[in-house]
Amino acid sequence: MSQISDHTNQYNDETLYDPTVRLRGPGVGQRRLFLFGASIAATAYAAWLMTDVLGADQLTIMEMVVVAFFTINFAWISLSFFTGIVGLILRGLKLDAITLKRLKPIVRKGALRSKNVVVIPVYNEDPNRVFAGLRASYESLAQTGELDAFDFFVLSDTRDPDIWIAEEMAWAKACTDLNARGKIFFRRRPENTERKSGNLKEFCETYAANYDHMIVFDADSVMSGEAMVNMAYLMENNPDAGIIQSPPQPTGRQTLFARILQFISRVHGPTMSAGLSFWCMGSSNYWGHNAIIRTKAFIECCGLPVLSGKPPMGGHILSHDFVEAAFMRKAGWRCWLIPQLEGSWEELPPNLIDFAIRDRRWCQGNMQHARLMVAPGFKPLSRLHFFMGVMSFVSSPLWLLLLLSSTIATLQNTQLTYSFFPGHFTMFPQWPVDRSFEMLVLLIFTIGMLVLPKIISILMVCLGRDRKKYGGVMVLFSGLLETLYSALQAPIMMMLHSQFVFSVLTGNQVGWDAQERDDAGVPFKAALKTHRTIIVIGLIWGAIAVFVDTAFFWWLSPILAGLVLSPWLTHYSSSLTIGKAARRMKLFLTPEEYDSPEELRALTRINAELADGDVKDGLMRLIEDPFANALHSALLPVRKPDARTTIEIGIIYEKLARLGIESLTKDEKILILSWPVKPLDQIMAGRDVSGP
Amino acid sequence: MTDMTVASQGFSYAAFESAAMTRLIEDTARAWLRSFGMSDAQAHQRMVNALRDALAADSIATHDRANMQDILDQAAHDAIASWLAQVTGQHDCYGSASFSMLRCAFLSANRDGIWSNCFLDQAGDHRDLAIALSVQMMLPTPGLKACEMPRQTLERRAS
Repeated sequence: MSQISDHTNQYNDETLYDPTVRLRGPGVGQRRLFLFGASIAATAYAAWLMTDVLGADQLTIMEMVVVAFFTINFAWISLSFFTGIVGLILRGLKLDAITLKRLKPIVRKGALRSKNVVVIPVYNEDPNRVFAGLRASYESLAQTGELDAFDFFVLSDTRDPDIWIAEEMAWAKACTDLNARGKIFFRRRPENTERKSGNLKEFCETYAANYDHMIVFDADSVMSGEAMVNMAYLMENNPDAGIIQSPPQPTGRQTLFARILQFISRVHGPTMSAGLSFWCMGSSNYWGHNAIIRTKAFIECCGLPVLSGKPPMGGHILSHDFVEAAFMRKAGWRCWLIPQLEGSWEELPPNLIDFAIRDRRWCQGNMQHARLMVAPGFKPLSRLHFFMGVMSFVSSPLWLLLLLSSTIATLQNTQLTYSFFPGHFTMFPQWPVDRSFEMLVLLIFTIGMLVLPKIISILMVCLGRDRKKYGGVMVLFSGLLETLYSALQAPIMMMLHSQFVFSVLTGNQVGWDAQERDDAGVPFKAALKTHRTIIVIGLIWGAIAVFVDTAFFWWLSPILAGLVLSPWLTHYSSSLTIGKAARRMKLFLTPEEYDSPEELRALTRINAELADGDVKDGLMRLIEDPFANALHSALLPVRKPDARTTIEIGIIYEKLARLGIESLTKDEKILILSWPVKPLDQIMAGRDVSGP
Repeated sequence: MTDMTVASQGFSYAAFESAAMTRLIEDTARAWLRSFGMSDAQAHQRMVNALRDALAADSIATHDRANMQDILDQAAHDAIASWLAQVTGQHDCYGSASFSMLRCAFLSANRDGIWSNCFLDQAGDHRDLAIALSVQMMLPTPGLKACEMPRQTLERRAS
């Protein structure tokens, strides 16, 4: 903390800090007041309208439940709507979301003074893709002339023996090809406790103190040199900044599913980023990658606690990024989201199934945050970020409950006969009140809140100078199709997320698997198997709706269509062929696809070059290739096995010599690779280890 | 006697060497040379000589093959490490990590076989090889700068 105040005292000294990149802006309180005030007002209006519609003929208990769920869901939508509207205004007026001044590119005054490191934590990822991303970023950085201010560090937590060896070889090749010995480092953690956050913690406790800032990459991240240097420059000139997050653009996938998501993220993502940055200011969130972190601050205040109780709600914190940002804020450091930082990319899961698998993991992590929301000491906005993380999954079961309670309420209403003389004695009947106009208003109001910012973002792109990069006039068709697709996908995600939330709350945990990073399709049978429960629910629900009221069935039909069509939607959207055909038709086109930046072209080129890199038979490679063997030995930590391990290793070596590599299990391979008592290739020289 | 062409200082030992032992020495030398990516005859002979020297200086019974293999491996390792120390001028060539790193560097530098004839040559001037090795040295990590990352608590104050 003292360091923050020291820096803040010197902050006005223009000889030390460049005032043109100062992260400060007017009216932080007013911004939040406006956003939350408008959201609350809109929610209150919608809740009143809903009560008016349902309560025209007296509100039943079930209708009260409907109003309650509707209000919670609407508040969520409303916050997102006003964030989007603010983002649209900022984009339209070309204003900086933080300073509210005219947007200007960052002009650096002089070379970087800091020492930075790009860290890439990996776990069983494709080494060719990881190092292709690293090399593309490295080459781009070299062109800025600021290479001396950066090192790269691959932090491996890999547990697959073949990938482990391939990572080592890819590292050596990158060092040799780029002449980057002493610039690109590699270390593998013998024990992968606490997953990714533990991986980073171990780095922080060993090598991170050599650096002022670290840029955290994901396994599929790529950043332009200019973006990395600008982030480091911003850090140097904003000494109270703990984290600066760039908005990563999803790119690189070719399946229809991924291309639709890439398109809408590219069109609408900047709107939401600008809106978020506007009201979050120095209390923004950290998304876990493509961000720069002040190393000292991170080491001092981001060692994660272990939550009491058992997983999934207790134990080690899974979704570490939000929590790290909250601890940074708690210690007084600022966290910024800079929407205009371009040249930051990531990749998406290629299909809905893999997307859902990733969401299942995130769901467990975010649900843990429910406990942190009420923990003492965190800033209010950090609590809000936790709440938003929880709501990103809990909103699905809430929506489901809203729909279910609506169904029950409708069913109840059809069972009731209307009473013209309710309660007390009167000469005048109480006529039924027609609320169809109010219902229409409410429907338009809700749908408008949901899709209006997105539609305006699409129109802005269509009317903007860059529309050619989005497929010209085809951007409108792309937007229309995306809206249709997302409407059909929403009920599927609602069911899946509801299932995930239920699964977490009932104590089920997820494992730790690498994300699918190829353009993998989903066979129809697999999609059908995955979605069979959803289809059955959709059909039963539809039948009940028809039985209750035909009009209600048509009201529910968009939801039911999504559920019943889910296997077709998943199967066809995972298609690479349709994705490529859509691209040829300029559908869902993004600027990265229209005119690929140099870094992404380099990524494609290097990926193709490294495609021959073998990720199989790592142990055999060590036996056959003396260089691979020497490299592996050199990279192992210096330690001696205990007596028991020595005996185990001896038995595995004997098994290897007598029965061949095929006889070894993955764990056995990992064990002898972790403790080579002497160079494997010597031990095996002259022996046939390819199998009996 | 199995090999009358051995260096003169090994003659007295070699005169009493069994065929099995000769094969063991040959195999060990070949395996170690292979791990340095070489099949050079001159280097092979130097390695065999080094192993015989080591055995001549050792008094352990030769019938214990497993034990003997360990002794030969250690002898080969020490001979190479000693030569690498002489070439590079470094003293820490015996540790497993530095030895492996130098093995890597030698394998990279000697990809086209230009340094094979220097291998285990104690007499020559190897300054060029030392430069080649330094150029090819891999550096997996920078200097260790250990520090503690304290676990935060969910208490009111930041720690």
